[in-house]
Amino acid sequence: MNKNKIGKTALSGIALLLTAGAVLSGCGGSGDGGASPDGASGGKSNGKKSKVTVWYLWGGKEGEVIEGAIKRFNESQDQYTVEGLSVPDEQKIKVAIAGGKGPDLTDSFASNVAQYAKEGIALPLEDLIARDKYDMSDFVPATLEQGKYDGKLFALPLNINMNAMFYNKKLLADAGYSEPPKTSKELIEMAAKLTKTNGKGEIEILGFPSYPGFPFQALTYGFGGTYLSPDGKKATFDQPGALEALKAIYDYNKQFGVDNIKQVQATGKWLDPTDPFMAGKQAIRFDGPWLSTFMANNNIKLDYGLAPLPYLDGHEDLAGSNEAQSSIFYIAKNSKNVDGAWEFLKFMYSAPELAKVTGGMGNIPARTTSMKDPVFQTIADADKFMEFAQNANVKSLPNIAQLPDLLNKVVKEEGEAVFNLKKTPEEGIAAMQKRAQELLDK
Amino acid sequence: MTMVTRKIVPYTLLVLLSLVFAAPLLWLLSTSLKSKDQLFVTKPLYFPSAPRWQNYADVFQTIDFVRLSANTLLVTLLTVAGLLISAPLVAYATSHIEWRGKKPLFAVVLATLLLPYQVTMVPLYIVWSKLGAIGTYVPLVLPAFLSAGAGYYVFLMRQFFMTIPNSLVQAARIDGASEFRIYAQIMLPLCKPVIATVGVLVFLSTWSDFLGPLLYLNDESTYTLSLGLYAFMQTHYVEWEQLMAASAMFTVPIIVLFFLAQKQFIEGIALTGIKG
Amino acid sequence: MPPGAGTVHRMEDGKMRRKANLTGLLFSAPFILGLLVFTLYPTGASLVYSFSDFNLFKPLTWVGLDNYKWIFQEKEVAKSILNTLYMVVLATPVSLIAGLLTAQLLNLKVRGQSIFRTFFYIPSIVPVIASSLVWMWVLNPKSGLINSLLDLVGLRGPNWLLDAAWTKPSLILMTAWGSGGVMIIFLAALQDVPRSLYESAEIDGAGAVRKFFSITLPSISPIILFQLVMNLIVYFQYFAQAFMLASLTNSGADQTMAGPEKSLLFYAILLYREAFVDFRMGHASAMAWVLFLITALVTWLVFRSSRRWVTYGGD
Repeated sequence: MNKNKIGKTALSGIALLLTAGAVLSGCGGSGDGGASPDGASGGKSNGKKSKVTVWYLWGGKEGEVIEGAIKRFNESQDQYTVEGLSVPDEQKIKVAIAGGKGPDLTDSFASNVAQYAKEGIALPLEDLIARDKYDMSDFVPATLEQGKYDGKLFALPLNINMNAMFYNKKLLADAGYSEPPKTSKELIEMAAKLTKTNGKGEIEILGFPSYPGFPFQALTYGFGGTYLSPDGKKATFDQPGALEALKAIYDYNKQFGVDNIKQVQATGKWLDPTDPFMAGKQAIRFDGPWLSTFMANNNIKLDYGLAPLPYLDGHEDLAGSNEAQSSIFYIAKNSKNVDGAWEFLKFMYSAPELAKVTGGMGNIPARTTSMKDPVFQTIADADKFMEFAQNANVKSLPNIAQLPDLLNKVVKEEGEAVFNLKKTPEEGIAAMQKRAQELLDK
Repeated sequence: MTMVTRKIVPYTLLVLLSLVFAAPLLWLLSTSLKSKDQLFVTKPLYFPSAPRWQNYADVFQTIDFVRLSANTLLVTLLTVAGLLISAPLVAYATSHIEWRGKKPLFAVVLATLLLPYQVTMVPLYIVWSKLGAIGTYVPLVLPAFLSAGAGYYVFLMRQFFMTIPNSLVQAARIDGASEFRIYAQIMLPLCKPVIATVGVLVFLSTWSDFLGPLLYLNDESTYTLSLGLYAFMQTHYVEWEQLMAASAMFTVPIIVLFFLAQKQFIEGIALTGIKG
Repeated sequence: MPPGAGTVHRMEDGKMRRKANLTGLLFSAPFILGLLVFTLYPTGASLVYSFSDFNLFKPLTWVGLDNYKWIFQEKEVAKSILNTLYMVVLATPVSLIAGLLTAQLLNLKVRGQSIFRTFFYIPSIVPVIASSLVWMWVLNPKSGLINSLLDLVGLRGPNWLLDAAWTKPSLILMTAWGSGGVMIIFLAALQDVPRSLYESAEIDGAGAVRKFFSITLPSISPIILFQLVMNLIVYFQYFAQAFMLASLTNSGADQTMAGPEKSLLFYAILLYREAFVDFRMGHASAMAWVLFLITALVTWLVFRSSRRWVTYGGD
């Protein structure tokens, strides 16, 4: 049999295959695939402990903190046994839930809540809350909003994730500064002066917070800007905050070279002793409380200071502007043990437990009662972050189903074009505004 | 002079190219022996003067490497066994049995080569999830026992079977041997080289398979090495040097396997006679 | 035809044929079962899905041609097709040429041949996860092997995997490195070329180059065709390597899996993302079918053209 014949045979085989496939799917096809939400049963029964599976995205030390809460829960009662599992890949969790083999309870980021609610992955919590008259009055209101979609609560916020400005005191002093930048103008001026390059133009000291990535979102919110109106119906990229943020990045990239900055972004690993900030090679850094905790836990001796993000020059009323995000826990809609998942959720979110969990991770808890827990006095910078978190200028992105597309497509694509100097900041903002509004109007 | 150049030129070329091909893997080895602060040293060909073998020991502390390896081996061996049981059967049916389906079935085998796995990926996932098989090894292993998605291997085997003269089979039939006896006692022994080759190919691809485990496994205790290392990388505090050490240990078994099977492996393919 | 068939009675003949049919069916039974369950049913089902809106969580609804319309309108699809074509058009010849040249070298009778063969073959069997990891480091803009070598001679290397203009060339480089699988088949083919052909050419005074073009290439042209088709298919479905590299960034996972400026967004990656990240099974199924049709079409074109350049000896 020669090759040409093989070719013809293969093609005639396709015809055969297609016909047979069509016939087969005709009789067998059209699977409805709906994972039936038969969850609400299960749970309390005949004295035997029922199993609750909890998956979490954290690994390593943070995963151990969750395991600690699980252990304490299992010891505290004899109705349920929680089995914890670290699954650091969010797609995997979603796919597993879709396959009916997922966890009863799992975590994610607030920006996904709307999509999960809409897709039918997450279970609304209203009934459970009403049944148990669960008290949520001490949750920081902005974080609670993060668990809502369409007015209904689908997830409980665990923490308040916020960036603040870390600065290397020695590098600032070397450049003649005793204070960190307070305004956008000071930030831009100081960043340029703090940056040191070698003869080839390669950056030795990064003055701008472009590590680990380009800080467009943090700068926008720090400058008092927003991506969306609070109701999620209007795109607001055309306000000064976003434009000034993009300009700051663009100008810095233009002055020091995109290639050189990307080279720095590829050195070291974020949250690792090789991280440029910890290695003393980054003067200004926007990052969250975990950076403080990491440095404290890993005994990294760096003389750094912590300050609020700079605000838009000339707008002192915007001081303390920032964006808060939350990690959230939600119950899977097809959970076979909703009651067990809910009991564990309540346990983990009780004021002392929430303090232990978030404190153990170096995070700020979403409940004010937990914030008062003495554990936070021993956690590096926790007091400062709590103070920043309670500023009236802190905002959150509204939960709308289009959020992942907005962030992953519109902002990422247009932002990238500007970082890489392929569009001017003005063009980038105009495109973001137009495309975002189109997305919202869909 | 010509003799010398004829020997020396290719030899030098071989040595140089071997170095180029080996360089990334040598880099892997050298990184796996670095300490944290040596990781970002910007010297090429830098090999740590005091290799840190501890990285290898640390891997066993950080991830359950033994279990990952055992899982991978289990899945791989089952898949190889499944395929080596089922594929020669159909290869025989499409080469030495004169029946109505001989030609059409071979055509279908070839057609499946052109069918992208993406076409069947989603519906199969749904079927398995309805059967409650997600999270088990069944979706990874069972298809091999039915040669599903293994058109390429069936094809290789069938081409080899074609090279065995039909007269041998006919003679046995006239002697009254049952068809299965002919298959098991005449055909299979003659076809050992291709069976070995396909066995090695299946072993290699299953050992390193990523997409299958990515789709179907979700409990860390069932992870294979590919997925285990991927998950290890996804967590925030990646210990690069350990990850490199783990990768080295992941790769070594297949290098050893290839080195041992090498001679027979190339013969197996040489004899597969794609031109047929 | 079995010897002596003519003397056998018709009845007997029919019986034997029936017996052969049964035997053939029995031997093929596992394969046929697998084909029905794991190939034909899902192929048909995905065709059904491709005309519907379907997300695993909610029931399926019929949407006609909407998913196919989406394919033609969505910019990301267009981008992913361009990226994929880049790989198909460049990586296929690169791996074939690299594979053939190295096979030619390794076919020489030299000392240590089997060690050289192992060196050249190993990269192709290194698990994708390990090779991606290694290349991420080899291509590191500052401390990577390549750029630090370039630095020695005073050159500044590109930012490879971080620069949209260099991501795909990086993948091509990896392709050449991993061409061992192609090489080994060519090596097998080269060993099948009859020595006598070369000997008679040498008598005619042919040099190495002429021997390569007038004997080697024509003799192995069917194998070239085979490898061409198999590699085209591989690169149309290009997934694992890019998936790893695009989702491994310095600061954790990148959910879009697209790489800088979407330069690593290949068709199969977008398809995976539609299916298992965004659960748009209808989109994914329609994309899969379009891929199937493209693959079949290209294969058909290659076979048609092959009449002109593939020569069959001894047929």
